Amino acid sequence: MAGSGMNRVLVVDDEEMIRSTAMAFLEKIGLPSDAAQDGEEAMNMLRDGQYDLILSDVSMPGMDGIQLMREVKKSYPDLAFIIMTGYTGDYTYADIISSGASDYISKPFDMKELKAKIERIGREKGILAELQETNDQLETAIERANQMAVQAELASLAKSEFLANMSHEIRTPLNGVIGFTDMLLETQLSEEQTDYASTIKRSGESLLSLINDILDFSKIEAGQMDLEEIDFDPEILCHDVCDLIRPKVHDKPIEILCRIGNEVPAQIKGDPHRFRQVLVNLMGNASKFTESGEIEVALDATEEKGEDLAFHVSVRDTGIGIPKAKLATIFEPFQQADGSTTRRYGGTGLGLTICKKISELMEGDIWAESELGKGTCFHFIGKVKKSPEKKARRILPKSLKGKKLLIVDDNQTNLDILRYLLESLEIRVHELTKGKEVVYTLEQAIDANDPFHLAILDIRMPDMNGYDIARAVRNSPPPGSNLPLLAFSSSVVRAAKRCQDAGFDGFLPKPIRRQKLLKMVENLLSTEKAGVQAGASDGAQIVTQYSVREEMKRSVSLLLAEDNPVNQKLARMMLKKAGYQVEIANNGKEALSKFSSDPEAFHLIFMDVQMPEMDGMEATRAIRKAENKRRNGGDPGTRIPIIAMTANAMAGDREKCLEAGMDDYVSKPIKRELVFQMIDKYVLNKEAS
Amino acid sequence: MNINKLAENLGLEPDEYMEVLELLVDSGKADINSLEEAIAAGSAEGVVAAAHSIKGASANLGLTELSEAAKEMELNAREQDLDGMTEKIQVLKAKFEPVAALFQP
Repeated sequence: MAGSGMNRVLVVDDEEMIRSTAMAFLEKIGLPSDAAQDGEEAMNMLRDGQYDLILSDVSMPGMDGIQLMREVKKSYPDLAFIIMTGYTGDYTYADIISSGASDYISKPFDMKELKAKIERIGREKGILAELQETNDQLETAIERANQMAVQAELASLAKSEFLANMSHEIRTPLNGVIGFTDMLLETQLSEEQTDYASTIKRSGESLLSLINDILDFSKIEAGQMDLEEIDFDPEILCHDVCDLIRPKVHDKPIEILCRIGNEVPAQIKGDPHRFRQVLVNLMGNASKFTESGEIEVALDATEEKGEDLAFHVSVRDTGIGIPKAKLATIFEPFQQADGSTTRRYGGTGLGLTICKKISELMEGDIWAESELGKGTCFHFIGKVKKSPEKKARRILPKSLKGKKLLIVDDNQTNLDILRYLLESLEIRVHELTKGKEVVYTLEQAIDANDPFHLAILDIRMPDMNGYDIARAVRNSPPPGSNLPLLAFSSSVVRAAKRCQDAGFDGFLPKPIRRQKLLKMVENLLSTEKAGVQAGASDGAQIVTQYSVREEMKRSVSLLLAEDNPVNQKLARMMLKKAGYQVEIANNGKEALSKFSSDPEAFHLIFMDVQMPEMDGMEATRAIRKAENKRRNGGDPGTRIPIIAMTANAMAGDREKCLEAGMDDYVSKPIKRELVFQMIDKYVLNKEAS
Repeated sequence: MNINKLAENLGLEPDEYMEVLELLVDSGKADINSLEEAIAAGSAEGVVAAAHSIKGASANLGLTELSEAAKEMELNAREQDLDGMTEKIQVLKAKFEPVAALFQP
């Protein structure tokens, strides 16, 4: 029986006769055995010897067989047990087996039966042992695999961290290269030198964007990308992205459209930088892969319970499209729809991966739908927070309610957007896609005693262009000829003059910005009467988005903190000439006290960094602190934009300024355009929304 | 020195430019005095402050050479390097003189 896992047996019975019979029998089948006359003795023997099987009587004085078995199983769970029963007993077969016995045998027992039973138990023991061994091996293997996985993860993390550090280290000198190339380009250079320096600058910039992508990617991989939570206006952001993309398609016949849902609040709380990054990426792709047609960004939002706000951005183009098989993989790192894409269109192949991760951080997703040759639509959804700002919902002027407008454009999407914007103000909108029908439609409305109040005309239309329509309207019989006309077009170059000559009252560039449109419509409708009396457009100045801006400009008030009297005077002169109101502070301390005495008095602060008494950084920190204090006191207030002015145009300065709480930075010597750009960006565009 | 061109670059009328320029000459004289005092006293800090002032103001008015001369002094002084400052201030003065001359009575 050796080798079957059965080596020694313990026989337990109170009857000497049974014990010796059993032992003799066991010896016969090659199994040595010992005997115990009761449970207690059996327990003692188990403690000293090694047994594989107990053969025990069931009814014994003291501990009976079942009790013994239960006791034994507590200390030796693997020990096999066969219970010997008499003809009658207190226990049934079920009792015996369910108490843990391997088997049972009735007395007087049959030798063959006992042998068979012992052999079966031996076999089972063997199988079990084998199984146990396999199991042990398996567990070791799993443990090893886990260890390796942890090691791999650590290694990958270390790599990502290394990459993040590396990218940062590369960025710093690269910023230097680009910055000084900029400065070099401002010196006297020959044509050839300018060409070389511009090439350095372009190459540097594309390398920088590549590194930024890698940095973002490794940040994501290392789990270090965190989202900010600050208030921003999503509509302005969408339009900014459109403005950024427009120059990239200026030589292609593409309409860039921007549609903002009415449910989108004027302020939301989230990470504008990352939000913008996704949009720039999607719009940038669209502009690369579209040769003609439209690129449309649309933003919608739905309120959810609590603080949450769900948003849905879609970026649709009419470009080359993406093959179905590639749709799933384009979000994986270094996968572009086509291997040759990188060569033709550039890019790292990380952009969409980063977008995907950002969407996930925003508890959302990003995906694409596409039809080859027709175009692609990317969807980007996620969550932001509602802003506690008072004007959480856009304020729509009520004065326009019930007015009747005619809109004319050969592009149906543009008409849809216009209609949507105007109807949200309860303006009655009638749309036409053919210029030729305009005069007739206007006359019919007059005949029906329900004339239009204003017409918005696209300039570039195939059948009859906007200029011709305007002239035709002006040449029609009054009162129809007095209708205010608003031109809108994507070609802005010197268009205002032509529009005025053709008889337009206003000019609006595409894409339509809600607030600009509303301001102009309001403006035109309120001057409607005057226009009629003066006999339409003769001599009257055309209302362009710029003249609307001019009005806003005069109400913009700036605080300039600068210690040098020459710079003070120069900046004051420049800004005043441009129509802004300027107040001067001689140092940081003065700036802080001027700000504190009336925080709402200024729209923007230009802050010199290096000043006596209190420098620009310190003043900025103090102002931000004061704002926070007010906010905590329950007054939401506004965050005043602070723009640093510094002569130390070194890499890292920008970061330092931003860290101190400034919003942006212009380097000295002060350039007019840059200063005006800042005011545009932080005050005028902001006011417009 | 082409006043018309410099003014145009800044979007100013020539007479407006001259107004600011006069201010630069006034404050420049004071700055040069401070520079000389600081150099004599061996105060790098003083050199940085005065040179910085000239550098920024002249750069803004498009007076590149004057600004460069001041910048060099500022950068050296930042490194605590006051060697050759007496020569450097002569260079700076040479760039400043013609500007100041515009306002001689």
